[in-house]
Parts: sequence; C-alpha cells; structure tokens
Amino acid sequence: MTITELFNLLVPVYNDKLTLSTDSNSLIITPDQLIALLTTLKTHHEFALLTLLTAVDQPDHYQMVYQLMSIKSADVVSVHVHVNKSTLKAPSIVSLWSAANVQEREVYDMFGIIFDGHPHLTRILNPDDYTEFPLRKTFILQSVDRQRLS
Amino acid sequence: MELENILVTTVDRALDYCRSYSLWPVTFGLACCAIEMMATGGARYDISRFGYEVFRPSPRQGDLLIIAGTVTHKMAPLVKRLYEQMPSPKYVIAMGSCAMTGGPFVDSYSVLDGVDKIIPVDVYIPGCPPRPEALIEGLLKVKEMLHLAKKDRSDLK
Repeated sequence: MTITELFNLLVPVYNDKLTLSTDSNSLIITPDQLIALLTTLKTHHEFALLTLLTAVDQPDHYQMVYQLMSIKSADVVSVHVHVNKSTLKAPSIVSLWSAANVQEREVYDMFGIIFDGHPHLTRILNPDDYTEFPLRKTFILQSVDRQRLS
Repeated sequence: MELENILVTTVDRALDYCRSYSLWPVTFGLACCAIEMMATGGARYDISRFGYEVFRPSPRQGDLLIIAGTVTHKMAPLVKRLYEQMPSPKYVIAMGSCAMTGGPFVDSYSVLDGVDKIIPVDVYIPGCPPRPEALIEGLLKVKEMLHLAKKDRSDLK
C-alpha cells in the first residue's frame, strides 16, 4: 500500500486534521489526533513496529517524525506532527510503544520538546545539569564550554 | 672508606628513582585509545618489561592516570574525582588527540576540549589513537621526568 492510498483510506476519519506532505511520502497529523491515528495504524493497519522517533528543527516549528513499519508487508509509513516552538508540547506515545520512552527522552534532551504523559521525562545523554538543547538551530556551540568550565 | 663509594642524594630523589620503575596505572579507558592501552599491556608490546604492567582497579592504589580517550562533559566530573582519589605523588598522561585537545570531536556539544582543562597533565601523547610504541614512549617520558626531578614539566610536553 502506498502512502497516498493509506491517506485516502484515513482522510474521511480525520478530515482536515490529516494532510499529505508535499512529496507524498508522509502523513501530517495535528497533535491532538496523533494518539488516535497511531493507534489506528498499529491495530488496524498492521504497522506494529515503531522504527524511528525523532525530531527536526524546521524554520517555523519543530517537526516530530514517527516511522512505523509493518512486519507483514514490509511497508513503512512516516507520520509527522508539527510542534509549536513556543509551547513545545507534544503527546507522548509511551502508552502505545514502551520503546518510545527512551527515544522521547532523547528528543527532549536534544530539542527541549515536552512530551505530555511521559512517565520519566529527564535528560538521558547529556549531563543532568545541562541547560542547552544542542540540536536546535539556535544552539551556540561555544556557550557550552564557556558555561561548563567557568 | 673510599670517597668513590659514597652516593649523595635526597630522599625524594631516591624515592622518585624507585617509583619511576614501577608506575601503577589506574585501569581506566574512555574510548578507542583504551584498546591500544590494552594492547600495550598485552604480550606483544608487554609494558611489564618496564615495570608498568600493574593496572590497578582502584584509584587509591594507582599513581598514574592514563586518560585514554574522549572526555565528554558528562564524564569530566568523574575523571576529576578519579584524579582526586589517587594518592600523591600522582602523574597524568593525556593519551591521544581527544584527551589532548578534544580531537576530531572538539566541535561537539558534548566533548571537553582537552583533559588539561580539569586536571594537570604531565605527558601528552599525540595520535589517533597512538600506537603502543607511542604509549611506551610516553611512559618512559614520565620515567625521565622522575629521574630528572623536573619541577618544570613543560619541556616534556
């Protein structure tokens, strides 16, 4: 099944909350419908495996990327959510895949995105007292050494 | 008593001379340099020829800290604590580009640009990673430093 076919199948349920990306390679969903969409994909469309959870710093928003895979058909679907740069809120999907736990912590560590409903949202790779979010485009490298060695 | 049989020295210099033939490194590796350090301890390069093979599992028993690898900001406080736990006199070797300056990872948000930012370093060994011969050379530099009782260690860097 192509992404476009899947999109046509799902769009009557989500209406304007679900859109197709311009390259027709991924589904874009609003944050409030993310859990519902991923639950549907997991239970009704055999996308049972979460292969990737990451984020991208876009000029006007942070883009959450969830990549799901169907073991049966080897199909891959990627779902995007646009996260507002001022609120930084995204829903946690730990209730669907417990493997998302550490991956969401890593995204929090690198981008500062707050996952609602995450059981233990703390830093995972960087030191606990780190104040920066190093994968943001606004991050200034020199600030770390200055701050940590002062 | 013939004058030729009298050796005049100080206790410190005599002790330093003895120490220089049995440095006890702390078992501490951070990255790929540690693999070369292990190779140095193995049969092929065999640092026990020089008396430096007694890698101690506790910093309380070691007098030489070989910083073998990349020091991250997260690891830096622990490296510092290890150094502080070692009894004096103690010596530090910065092994490899990473421990010297941050190496290829210097432009990273997580890597300390040189272990000498947090602890004093006696001997620097360049290389990525340095070969076992280079590490042996570094150890012999520490020996040389002890033999000469150098107060100013800068010319060994």
